[in-house]
Amino acid sequence: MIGTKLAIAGVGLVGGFGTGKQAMLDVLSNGGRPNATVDVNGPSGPRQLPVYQADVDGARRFISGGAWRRMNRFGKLAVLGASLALEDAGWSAPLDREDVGLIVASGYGASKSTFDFLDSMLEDDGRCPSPTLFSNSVASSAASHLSIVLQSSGPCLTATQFEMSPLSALLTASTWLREGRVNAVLFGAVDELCPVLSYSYERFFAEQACGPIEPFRWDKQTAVMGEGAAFLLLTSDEGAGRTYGHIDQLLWTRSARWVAPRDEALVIGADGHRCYAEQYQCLSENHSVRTAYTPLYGSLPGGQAFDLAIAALAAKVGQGPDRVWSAKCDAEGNCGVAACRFASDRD
Amino acid sequence: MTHASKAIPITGLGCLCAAGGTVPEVAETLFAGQRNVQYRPARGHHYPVFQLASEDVPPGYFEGPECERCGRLAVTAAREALGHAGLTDEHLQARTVGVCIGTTVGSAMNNEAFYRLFRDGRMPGIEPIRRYLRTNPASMVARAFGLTGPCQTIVNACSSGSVAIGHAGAWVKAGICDVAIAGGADMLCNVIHAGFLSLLITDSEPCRPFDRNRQGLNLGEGAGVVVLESEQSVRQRDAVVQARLCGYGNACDAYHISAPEPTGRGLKQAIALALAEAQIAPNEIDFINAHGTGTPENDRVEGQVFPELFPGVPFSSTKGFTGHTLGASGGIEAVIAALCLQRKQVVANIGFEEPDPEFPGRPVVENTPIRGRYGLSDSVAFGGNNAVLILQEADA
Repeated sequence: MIGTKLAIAGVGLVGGFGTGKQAMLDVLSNGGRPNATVDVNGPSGPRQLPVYQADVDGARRFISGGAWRRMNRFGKLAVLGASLALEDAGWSAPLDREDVGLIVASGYGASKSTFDFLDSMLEDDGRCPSPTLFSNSVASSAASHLSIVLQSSGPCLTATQFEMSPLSALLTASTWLREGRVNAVLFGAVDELCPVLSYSYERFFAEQACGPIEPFRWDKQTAVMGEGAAFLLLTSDEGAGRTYGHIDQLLWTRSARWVAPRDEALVIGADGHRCYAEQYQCLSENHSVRTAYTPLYGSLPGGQAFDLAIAALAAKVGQGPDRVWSAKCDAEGNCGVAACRFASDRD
Repeated sequence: MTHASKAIPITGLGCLCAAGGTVPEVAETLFAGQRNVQYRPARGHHYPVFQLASEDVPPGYFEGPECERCGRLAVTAAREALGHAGLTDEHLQARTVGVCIGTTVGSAMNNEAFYRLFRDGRMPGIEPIRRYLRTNPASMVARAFGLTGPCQTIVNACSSGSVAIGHAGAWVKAGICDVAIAGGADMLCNVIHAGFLSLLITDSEPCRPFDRNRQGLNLGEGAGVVVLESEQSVRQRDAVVQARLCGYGNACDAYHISAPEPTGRGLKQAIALALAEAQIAPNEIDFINAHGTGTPENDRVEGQVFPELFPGVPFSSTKGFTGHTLGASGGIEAVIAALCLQRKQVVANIGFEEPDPEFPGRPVVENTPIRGRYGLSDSVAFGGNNAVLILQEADA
């Protein structure tokens, strides 16, 4: 367990629920559901799969026209989520600073651009692959676009560890702040849908890929694909005005080893994937105050960043507890735990 | 802005690339000035590449799935590094061991054969996706050695390996782990080759870093891994320290998605951060292992920055021996920098013949004796991501 003190100064959210805090608060009150469908063609014929699909149009107010044309959708998701987090904290962009770190955690990276580049490579017998698509296909493209849009010249990291991506990135954020490398870290998870992912869901899960997500249904595959970005502006400065509270402990452990404190709220990252059900069941059984936010935003590897942002937001408006343990499991048997103590507007 | 400095012991080195299958072999090749170039067909030409010699290829490398190759390279280098460090299974199980591996190809869902079938509507089997989900390079290393500490695969493009070592050092310093296995791994693949050809920064001749007539890079493959260890762990098992990581800096150009900022603004900032952490002055740097890809833009930036910040300090690029191994390069070059400190000699910059009048920097063209106290290794990546490591000799 790593003791830390990451103050959450702002949150930025975009996903199938919409864009911004109010969109999230609406689904928090009314329940979330997939907002779109995608066409897939598998061995059993054509089908439409429900998905949680983000609209990146809101990023237009943060990105100039020329940059908009050159930027991939993955980058636009990142810019939108990050800019909303800055705005929420009362910071203005461009930052034009070197003491702010950028961290993007992603499970699949710039998957749409990767396959778009492959298309350009395979067409015309490989004579004219697109250099712009190639540059955008790199997993760090979102972080690069973000640094350019924000004019942020501090350290910049893209980490990919599937479901553990956010926790591993938070460990890095905590070291940056602890060492004094930066005064703030703009940390977020970004994942996007693409046709290959849809096809993979169809092939892996067939009719079970239609949800709805039932996070506490341990015996059934109910995951529904999601995409979006969830960003937190993290600082170590406790005197930085009103914040959402703090992440005060980070733990990379084995899911079989960790026991959540029983009398405190547990947010699990269970997103309807049956392969993780046993781990989440062990973590949360006998736990009276447990919840999962995945039905609000869908199934995606960076989900823990969404969980932290939503839990902070919920506590702020009095719709959630002020002490929360967030846990996310991966296929390797790892478990990423972040303990948070949030503040409420009632405080 | 200040940050406490405490050099992290490096107790093990592991490396495989076109220059050799182990660290001693790589050292022998580099200091003998040999380069092992092969050629790969693409778009009607044969381009130089630096691929592993057949005898150096890890077991199962070609027989197994392509998406496992980066992980296999990382595991092979990690095994050598752990052996070099004298870390046994017993040691590893008694410690919290983190893994931090940089890559570009190793995280990409870009299986060409699968995608050809998919885009043709031929409904490919899903096994390649299933395998992809098991081939995260850091996870493969952790699985290979039964490690349960924190894992992170870093995908900062060509600075990934350096960034991985820098972050792993911070993990050890912060007590997040006692030991960290860190570096980079990348493989040759058609998709990446096509990408660099599309950018028109691939040389059709063996690469010529810093030379006036350079035309670009040659791709390479391999892995370079170091074992970072806390002082306490080193003392407990009386380990031999090979070198120390004393400075790390990472900074963005915030300029362009692929090209470096022409004045080297971000590189200078990363260098300043690394020097500050190491608590040394620029004139204490004894040599520089340059990123030196052989692309016109990269070499122009480094060729301006080094003489400006480090006048008279010898520098060289070792890409002429290894090719550009992308996310692995920072790891491989950190290993080479440690070797240079140990031998008190900087490796000649193979491929350089004619100075470029556009910048004052001239790399060393012969193996050059150095005082050998501090060495700097830098990486300059897509998106303007600059990473700098400063290594210190073991007994400084």
